[in-house]
Amino acid sequence: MAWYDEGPLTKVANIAGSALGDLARVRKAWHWDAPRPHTWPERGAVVPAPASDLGWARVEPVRSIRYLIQQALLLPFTEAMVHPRVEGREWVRELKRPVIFAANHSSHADTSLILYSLTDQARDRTVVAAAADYWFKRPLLGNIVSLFLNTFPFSRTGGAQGQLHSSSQLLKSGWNLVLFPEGSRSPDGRIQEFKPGVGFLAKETGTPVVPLHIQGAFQVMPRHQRIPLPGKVRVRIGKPMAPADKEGTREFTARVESAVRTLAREQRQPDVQGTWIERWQASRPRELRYEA
Amino acid sequence: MIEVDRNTPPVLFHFGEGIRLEKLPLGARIVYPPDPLEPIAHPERAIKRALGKPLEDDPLKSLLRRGMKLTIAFDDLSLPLPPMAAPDVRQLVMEEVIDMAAEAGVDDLHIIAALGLHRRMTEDELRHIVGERIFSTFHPDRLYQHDGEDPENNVYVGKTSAGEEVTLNRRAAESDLVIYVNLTLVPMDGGHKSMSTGLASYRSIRAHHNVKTLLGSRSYMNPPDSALHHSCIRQGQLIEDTVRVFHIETTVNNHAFPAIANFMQKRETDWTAQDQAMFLATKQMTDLAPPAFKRNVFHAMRAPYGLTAVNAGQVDAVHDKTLEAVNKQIAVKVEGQTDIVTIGVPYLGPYNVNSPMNPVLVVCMGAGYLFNFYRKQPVLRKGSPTPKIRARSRRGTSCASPKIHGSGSSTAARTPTTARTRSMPGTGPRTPWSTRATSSSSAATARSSIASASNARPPWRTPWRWRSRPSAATPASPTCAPRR
Repeated sequence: MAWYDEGPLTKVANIAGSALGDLARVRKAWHWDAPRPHTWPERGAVVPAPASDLGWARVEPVRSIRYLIQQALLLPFTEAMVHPRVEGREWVRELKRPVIFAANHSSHADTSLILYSLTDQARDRTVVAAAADYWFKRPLLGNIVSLFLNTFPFSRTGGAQGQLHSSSQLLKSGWNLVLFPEGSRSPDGRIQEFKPGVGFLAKETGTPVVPLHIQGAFQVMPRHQRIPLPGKVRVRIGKPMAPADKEGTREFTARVESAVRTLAREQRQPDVQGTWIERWQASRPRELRYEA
Repeated sequence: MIEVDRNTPPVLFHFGEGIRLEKLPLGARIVYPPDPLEPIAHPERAIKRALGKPLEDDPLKSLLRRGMKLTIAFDDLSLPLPPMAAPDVRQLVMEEVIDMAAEAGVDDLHIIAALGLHRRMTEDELRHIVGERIFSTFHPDRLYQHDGEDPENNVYVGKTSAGEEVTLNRRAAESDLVIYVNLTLVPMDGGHKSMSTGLASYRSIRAHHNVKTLLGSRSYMNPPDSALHHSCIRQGQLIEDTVRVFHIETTVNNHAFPAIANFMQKRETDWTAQDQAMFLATKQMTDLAPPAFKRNVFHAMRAPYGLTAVNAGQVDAVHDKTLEAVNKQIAVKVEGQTDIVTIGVPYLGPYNVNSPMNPVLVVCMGAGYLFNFYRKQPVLRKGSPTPKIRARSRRGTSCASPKIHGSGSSTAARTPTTARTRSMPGTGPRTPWSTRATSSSSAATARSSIASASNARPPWRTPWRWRSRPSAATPASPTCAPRR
């Protein structure tokens, strides 16, 4: 380093020099009198932009706005249209830790019905996995749906590990997750085979899975139906299931699937909802009673 | 009870889904229900205490064990009247009982609404009584309603010494322990009548719900003098021999109307300007609104009853205590009898909760219940009035404003007396007429006024319908309980 490098004059000269260099570069780069192309070449889709995880939808004040929207529109509308009967609500009244809600999927109404079945407290901490290739094809639609239902894009094609990783990040940061393990809406209202992602997530994060069965949603809003019809709906919530230590991903998924099928089948309260003692204790009110 | 003088304001009468003020003649006596008793401050504590130290029985905890078959039965929505604001006392009691059963690990627990032959409740009505927690945990599998007409689920227990057949709900009959959760509003309710009526079929109920027991009862409000209760006791004892029963009875005060309708439970002399305004508003509403709207408004009112007593244990011991508590709240002492009784029949009876009152129920309420709310003698003198129920309909609607008139004898005409009972007690100072009356006159929306006009005629000169009964022959002061 030369002795004059530290001096103030040198610094001023350097700044002035680089400014002059920039000016010259700009002047040479754009020629305003030259003819301009009519169209710009499209940007090639060589590497897709990383999918946004819509983090904005999970922070304030969006959460408060969503709360108001849900209380004012979504829940009254759901109640008015189908007056859902919810069984086993005690299992989702107070969730001490995040859970995965695994439900059958036969209709777009399913998400609203699941959110309807939850308590305000649980609903506020619940995100819904929505098919990235369906809901987020059009960004505006995806963002509006996310504002209403707190969805996040969940890829059904490729990148499974990455997607599952982002889901497990959500679970680890305290969010409940609504998953439809069938992958897509049932074409005929019957339950399809469950994909093992739900078991993988539960195993990886040690999260309990709450099996849910929604009956009647297919009649309310089947595929290709855009406006919901009034109907009779029953949402049945099972006892949370935790994966056993030695249980594999696929075995656990199969167990969840059979629980959902049991909820669908049985006319009366099935055992997967727990014994009455378990349900009674789960529904114990949390508030302490202070007595004088 | 007060006597009408020049300064007495007009008196409020219910008539179906309506209310009106009527000026009563001088000298008429008005029977008001007593003031509500102070409720128990901590119902949960009182319930725990009652279950822990039952009367003539072991603590409930020691009766519960793993593997047993436990059934809880409770009174249906015909009690109390009007329906109680949440939480219902039956809910509080059942929650304590279920907590104990859960701790003891009783897997096999069923909860049955003891309807008897009453109509079935809707899910919302059931939920209102038992509360959301019990409903969501047990319905529909383990919480359901007794069906008195299902031959499969009723079993024949046997015959009493008087030849009355006894049937019982199959689940209850096969249980190791039946816990009955009762709410007693008037002395007619509770005791052995709960099990022998609530969980029975027609075969059983026909033994006492008939004209013969009605004629043989002076009255249903005085169980020792009631043929119905004797019959129920015989049946109940047979049931007790068959199945172990643990009885829990509760009583409430007579705080029957919410704050918005507070004027309905005050004496008119105590009405404030606000009460007068509320009366005027309600009166205009009932005059102008369509019947369905009025009905919805009236039936939406929930009574903020307060728990006054809870007792548990052996049926008879418990029921004695319960009757004591009920009489403390509802009994009003009335001297002498009267020639004319005027009673406003309200919109509500045990058989038309959340539904319209039909002409049959008007008669049932007026001539059946309200007239018979006495213990020793009716307030109406024998022979003078032929009770006449007049249903006045407005504008051609079928919803009537029923009013019972006793009118008739010449004596009555000369010495008009009006009596009215009202269901709710006022808060004003008592007149010398009034002796203590405490009660839970709950249901009552009915106020009846007894007007006894002249000096009461000595009863022994009156041709008396129940002459043979000693109580009628004595000139004692009859006690009448204002009834709902």
